[in-house]
Amino acid sequence: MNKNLFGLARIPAPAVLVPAILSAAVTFAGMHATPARAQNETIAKVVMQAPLRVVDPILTNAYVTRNHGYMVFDTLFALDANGKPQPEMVESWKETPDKLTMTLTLRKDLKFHDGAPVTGEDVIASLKRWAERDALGQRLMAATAKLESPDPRTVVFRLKKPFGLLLEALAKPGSPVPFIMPKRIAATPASQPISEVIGSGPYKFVAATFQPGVRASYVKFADYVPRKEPASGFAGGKVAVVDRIEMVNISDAQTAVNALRRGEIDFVEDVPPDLVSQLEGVKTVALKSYGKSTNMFTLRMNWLQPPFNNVKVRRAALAALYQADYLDAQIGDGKMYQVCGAVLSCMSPYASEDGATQTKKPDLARAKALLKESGYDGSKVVILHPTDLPILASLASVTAQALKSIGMNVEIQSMDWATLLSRYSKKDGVAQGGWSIFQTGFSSLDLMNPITNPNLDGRGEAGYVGWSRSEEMEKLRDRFADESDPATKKQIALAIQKLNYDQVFFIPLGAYSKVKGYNAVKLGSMTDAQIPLFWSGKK
Amino acid sequence: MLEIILKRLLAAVPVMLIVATVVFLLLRLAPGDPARVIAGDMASEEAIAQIRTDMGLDQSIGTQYVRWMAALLQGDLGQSVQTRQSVASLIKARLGPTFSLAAWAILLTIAAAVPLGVLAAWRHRSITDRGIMAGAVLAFSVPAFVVGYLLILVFAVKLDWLPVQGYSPLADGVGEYAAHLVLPTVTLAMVFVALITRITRASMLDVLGEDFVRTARAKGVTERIVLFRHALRNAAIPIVTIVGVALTTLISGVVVTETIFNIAGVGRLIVDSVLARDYPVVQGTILFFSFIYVFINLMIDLAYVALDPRIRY
Repeated sequence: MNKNLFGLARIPAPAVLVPAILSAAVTFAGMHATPARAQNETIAKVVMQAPLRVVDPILTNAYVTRNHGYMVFDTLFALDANGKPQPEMVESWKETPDKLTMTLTLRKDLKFHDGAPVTGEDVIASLKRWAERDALGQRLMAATAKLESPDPRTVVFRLKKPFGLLLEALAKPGSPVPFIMPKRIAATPASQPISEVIGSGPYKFVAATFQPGVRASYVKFADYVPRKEPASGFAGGKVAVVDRIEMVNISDAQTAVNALRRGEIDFVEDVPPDLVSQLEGVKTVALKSYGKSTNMFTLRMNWLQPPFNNVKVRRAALAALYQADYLDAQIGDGKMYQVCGAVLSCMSPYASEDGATQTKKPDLARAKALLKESGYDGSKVVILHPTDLPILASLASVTAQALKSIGMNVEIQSMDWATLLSRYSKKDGVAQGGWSIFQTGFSSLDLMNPITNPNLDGRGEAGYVGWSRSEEMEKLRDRFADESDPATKKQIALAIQKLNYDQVFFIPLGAYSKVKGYNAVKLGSMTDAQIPLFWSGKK
Repeated sequence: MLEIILKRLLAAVPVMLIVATVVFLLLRLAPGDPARVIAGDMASEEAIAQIRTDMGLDQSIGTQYVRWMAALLQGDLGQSVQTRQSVASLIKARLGPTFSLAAWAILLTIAAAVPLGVLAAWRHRSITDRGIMAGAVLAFSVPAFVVGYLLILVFAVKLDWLPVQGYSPLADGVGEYAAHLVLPTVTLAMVFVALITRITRASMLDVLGEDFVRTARAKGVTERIVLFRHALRNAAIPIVTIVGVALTTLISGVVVTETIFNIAGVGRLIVDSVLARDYPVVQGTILFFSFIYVFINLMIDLAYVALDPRIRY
């Protein structure tokens, strides 16, 4: 063929390749320009601990989606700084003396971001959708004979029996949160994502600029009327701290810290303990803990398969573990962790240390004796180890070392988190791909109530992975849900704590604090809570 | 020539279909469940099962494959199971940063590596040659995450000249666009500068020993013309091959650099999608990469014709 067709022979080599790429680069480089902004608009660029991909806070219980939800949606009640439910969208509420009817009256100035008023029908549809995904919500709905809205500002719960946790349920701060959305959106099945993100919270979600996993924008909702009370925890007046929030994803923690130091971003949700020192002394940056014991590491055993289908082996394992080892290995800085044996977390008003032994130096002789007594036959213990979550990276090794030291046959199996989520649902024996021990971290918000704490599930194979079965535990949880007297509730919580350690449902591996880093000028007035809330009580 | 281009493009179709099928099967065989990733670790089995049904993941692999392939043949890459956005739109949104980074990195590579390689060959066994080779070994050996962090520390954090992270679209201004690309481009180009400098040097050394070079010098042709018109042109085939390989790597495999500099490119998209088991996005992105490979290989073949008149197809 003609070697010089199109004059190719005269063209230098790079010129054949590079223009094609350059032209493509120029074509695409201009796409997704940063959205236009109003003059004098105050903007905060915030980096959360994970990229936001799913914007439906009911479909997923991902913490980043919960945090996004708090900006966009509002709740009927919310927990204050003392953990007490306070009205948020609700103006007043009234319970009949027999505790079988609860009437909620909504504030009259509530509006959704599309301009429509918030009505009782919206509330009912939202609560029903939430209840499909939430353990506490399911119990509330099971106790509810009828949920009705006789007029647009009123919602009435007609209960089959008194439900002591009604206000706590409506104020539940952990995932999934009972956020209120318009009825037409809440009509979406809970297993499908909502198609619009419209709430009545202090910020409007800007759908047009949303790039899943990359960035999300929120603008202050001008029609939001904050409550008059000062902000306290999740409750009180929610005054947006800036006009616009741009949530950008920075997956590398070191890069996020560098960007905060240089002022390119204004907020880092979770500054890793080993990087905190890099921000200390930086003039524009403030560091603040979300509070003590806001998060907790946990260990769960598989009750269906040997060796942990034997309670004596579970007790032996408990006796061999030592929280300080986990916390030193994973967190390191003693100021940022807390030894805590409370199964409802040390943030809970029902916190107790009863029965916890892993908070003290382990008695290995006792652990070995317990193991011998159990008749342990050397069967393999498989520990699932997630490799792509640095915050859980060291837990498996510490557990393996402790169990080996009492003579157990231990194998760590490493995998990414998605694989682990599939593996841990397998109920088979370890030879068939099953598992023995799974460790993770929880926000204490998800642990502080025995109903929402999945580790206390006693429903066996129908319950949370690990499949612990105990009728006694289920009865205690039912009693806790029905009870409204705080003193009796505390007694029930204590019984749950004791039963947990007797049967070893799960083992708390220690609590730790997370630290946020932020631009002290722009975001200094943010309210203090266990998670980032971009509002203040000041007008 | 047009016939060759068309033939090559047609030949790419079965290649891409095979790639698509293999990727589809590998993903289904790999452990992991997108419904569990979406629902989270506290979700009930019933909720996860319902999500799986809504995604169509409860159907047999054969049914899923037929449905996906039927859509693919109509040009539809499908929808992300996680975000419910079209895969094409997700890829399109990431092309700006990826192409920009790849283009500037390859330009910097060519601009630095070819002259350095020619110089090293020309000054064979001199201090210049040894210095360039030592630099190349160093640049090739130091991983991108070390180079990237060092550049950030010096030029962004200490000197405050350049931004730490992010990508600024061209539409937001040329200055911002360029400022955000300097450090990642240098980080990315380092290893390829080292590689192509060595290839250029080796190739040039071969050619500089040829009779025609001696003849040209004997005829009194200037060194510049000997080096760049006679020798480099004849040494160019291996260089162009490596440039092509570098380009495909730059477009598809720069996850580390994208992570360090927080650039939301196609590389990060595929890694995030694999971790989330977002099957349609992984499948669509790999198909896109295979198209890029085919296209760049075609460009390289055309470059061969341009460089060496003896090559015919």
